[in-house]
Amino acid sequence: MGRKIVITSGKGGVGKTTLTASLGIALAEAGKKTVLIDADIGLNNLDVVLSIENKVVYDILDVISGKCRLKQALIQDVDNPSLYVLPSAKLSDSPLLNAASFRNVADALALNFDFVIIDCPAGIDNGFHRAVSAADEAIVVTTPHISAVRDADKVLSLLSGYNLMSVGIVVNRVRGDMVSRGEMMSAGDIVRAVRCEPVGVVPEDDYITVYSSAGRVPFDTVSGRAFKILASNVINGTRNIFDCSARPRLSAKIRRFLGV
Amino acid sequence: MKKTAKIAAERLKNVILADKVAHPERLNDLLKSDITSLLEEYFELYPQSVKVRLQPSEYGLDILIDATAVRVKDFGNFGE
Repeated sequence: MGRKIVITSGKGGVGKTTLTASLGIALAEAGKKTVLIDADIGLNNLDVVLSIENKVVYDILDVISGKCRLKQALIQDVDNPSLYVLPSAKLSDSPLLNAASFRNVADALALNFDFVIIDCPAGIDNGFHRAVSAADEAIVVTTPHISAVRDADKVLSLLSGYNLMSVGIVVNRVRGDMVSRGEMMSAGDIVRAVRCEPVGVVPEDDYITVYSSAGRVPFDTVSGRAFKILASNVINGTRNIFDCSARPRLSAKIRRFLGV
Repeated sequence: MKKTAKIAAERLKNVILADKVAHPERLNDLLKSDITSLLEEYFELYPQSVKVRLQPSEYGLDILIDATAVRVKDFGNFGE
């Protein structure tokens, strides 16, 4: 039986979907058969991040309503044969889209995959409940901004009401240069404030924007290395943290000039 | 000048603390009622002496209970 992990945050725009995609790729690269469920009904973007939006024929609602078989709705990633995606539904008001049906789909996928990663919608309403109910573990994503951490803390409180085996936090978009200058909170500051175990730290990386424009997720970059460490922590239960402060951020122009 | 990261960390701590200690008005009344019932199992309480206060602390919330008992109930007679 595979592990079912929901990626959530509370606040939107902290990089949940990018992290879901990147973690999925890193797990697949590590040899783990992985499926990503886009649980952001009506506001789906996982397909765009992974550049599979033109391959979507069936979605999770089609599976739940019996319009297609689960296998038919899965889309295999071109670059990573061990990575699959179950696209989100475009309709958001179907009564079939409930916590029990989501859990059934996730359970069915867990029979054939090592990891089922669920991309939770922003907010803490029904979509959040559906996504979290289908998981056994949770990763809360935040950025080093007060508003994002505050929402992450609220989500951590809500998650304590679910029967989850583990809950960890990922601090995303950390600017090592700003942390070094004392201008941005460090991951340690955030972890201490929310009192949650850190599973990963991901640096701010201009390449994420560059790659996402081309419909790809960066893997051979500084953030890619952080995602690899995150995947290793998820697989092995280790807690190795990427050191963002070790690498001062260079502007894109300087990096192009230096050819790095 | 104080580093902005330190300012942010302090603000974050205060914001999170404020969120954690925020509670509905009725919570105090319910808590007081339940605690009074529990204490009355063991003590003869001085009328209206139970006070329950919630106040922020470094780790979240301190629950301060103050009560005055006239005497301990006679355990020897329990259930007889």
